[in-house]
Amino acid sequence: MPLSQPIILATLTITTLIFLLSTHLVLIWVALELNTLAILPLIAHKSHPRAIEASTKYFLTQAMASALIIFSGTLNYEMTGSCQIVELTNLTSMIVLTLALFIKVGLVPFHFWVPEVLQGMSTTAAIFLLTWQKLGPLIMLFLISPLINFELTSVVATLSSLVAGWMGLNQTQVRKLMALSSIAQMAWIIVIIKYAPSLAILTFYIYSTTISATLLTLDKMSTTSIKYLIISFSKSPITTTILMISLLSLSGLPPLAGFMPKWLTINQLLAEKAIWIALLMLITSLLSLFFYLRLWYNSSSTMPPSTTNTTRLWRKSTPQSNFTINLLTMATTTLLLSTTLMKAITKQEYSLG
Amino acid sequence: MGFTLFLCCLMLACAMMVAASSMIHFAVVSLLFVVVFGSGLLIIEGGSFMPLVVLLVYLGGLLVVFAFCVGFTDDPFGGFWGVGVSKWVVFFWWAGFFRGVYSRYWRLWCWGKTSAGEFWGEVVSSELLGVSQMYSDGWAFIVVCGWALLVVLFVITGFVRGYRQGAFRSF
Repeated sequence: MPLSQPIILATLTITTLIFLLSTHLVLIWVALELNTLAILPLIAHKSHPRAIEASTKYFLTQAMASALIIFSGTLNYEMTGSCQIVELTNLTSMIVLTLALFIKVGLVPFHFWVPEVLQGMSTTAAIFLLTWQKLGPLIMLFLISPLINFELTSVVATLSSLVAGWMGLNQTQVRKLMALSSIAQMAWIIVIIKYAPSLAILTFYIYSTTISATLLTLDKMSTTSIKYLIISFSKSPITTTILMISLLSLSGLPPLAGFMPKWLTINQLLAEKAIWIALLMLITSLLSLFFYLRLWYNSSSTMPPSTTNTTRLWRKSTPQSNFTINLLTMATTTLLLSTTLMKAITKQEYSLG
Repeated sequence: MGFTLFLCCLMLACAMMVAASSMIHFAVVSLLFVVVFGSGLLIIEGGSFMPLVVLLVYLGGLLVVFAFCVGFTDDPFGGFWGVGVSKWVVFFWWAGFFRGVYSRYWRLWCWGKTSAGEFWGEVVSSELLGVSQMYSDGWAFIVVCGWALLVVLFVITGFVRGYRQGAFRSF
């Protein structure tokens, strides 16, 4: 095991703990910078030029966003005298901070780095980027959510869902598709963060579990594009089926757990009378549904011409899914929990009568 | 107020020069000026501890070593006005900057308008309370910043010369 790995992982853990425990803007900023720096070796681990380029792009984007965060904090300190992130009352600093956090998460006007960075990383390291690195900005958005500007978040969320789905229509590389699906899922988190922040947290939990299951399965099968997914069913049918369940859960189809956050979010948006936003989010999520269904079609639904004329390869040992993948994928079958969570998370009372 | 604004403008201009330089050696010299003007800004506003620390450690230690390392490098496409775009960017930026400053801030910028008391400030540094609190109650912050510096060291060293190809092979 390389010598620096404990330092990197300990740093990632410590900085996330600092986000979770602190409300002082400068401390959160230091922790965010440290988080960005600590993940760079994970991105550039393979050290081929594409990985180095991916880490450079990631660092530049995140550093610019951190600069905007500290600018907004300084402006707020000068205007109001407070350094606490929950007391961010100056309008300019609130908007600048929100935009900086959107850069960090990768939402629409600032989404260009996400597919390129993910394409340059290994699949296992991509899990860190898509789940762990989003914790910091999402915690900050959760803390400023009472005062956040709903027009800004709803416009950015709708555009993100649209652009992520639209960009995914022509992709064959699965890591880029995962990047675009993460942009679309973040849009669903951002749209509801002002009115039901705990629902945003629930969306994030379900999204991170499902995308971890998907990326781990892809790493196990060593498939990085659709042309390798086509032949994966004959090599490891159960792992392919597990991958499909995870992908369809990400797309938000009802028998699976990914439907729960979308359903509850639409409920809350309608309760807040944001009907156009709800309609636009639903329509634009059809675009991302298209590329999830394309992945399902190419791997599980049809059998393209392959190298042998049998349905199952038996000459070599093939990669099968392990305990972690199975456990994470089982989380996608927990839709029935929504009956309990509805009452706890949303603001409406539901009656069965 | 006028002198503060002047130093801010100079610092910003040099920061722009860092980004828009055609050769890396000019960027290093511009970075030096950014630090000098930034420290001057802090001194004018009353603090003396932080600028001194920055000038000693950052300029005198880090930046000197950085400048020596940069001196070892060679830029195959450089020149005084290197590759195309840079000199026009610099020229038009300075032209626009002076035009904007002249139209809006000329009165504030003249040195004659500042009073002596405002220029020279007070005798005791206003930073002392903050510095002592940083070392007493804010120890956690210093620990986090020290940890950050250590991690930066490992990350950058492993990034540049690690990965099983140099002497430092921790990655």
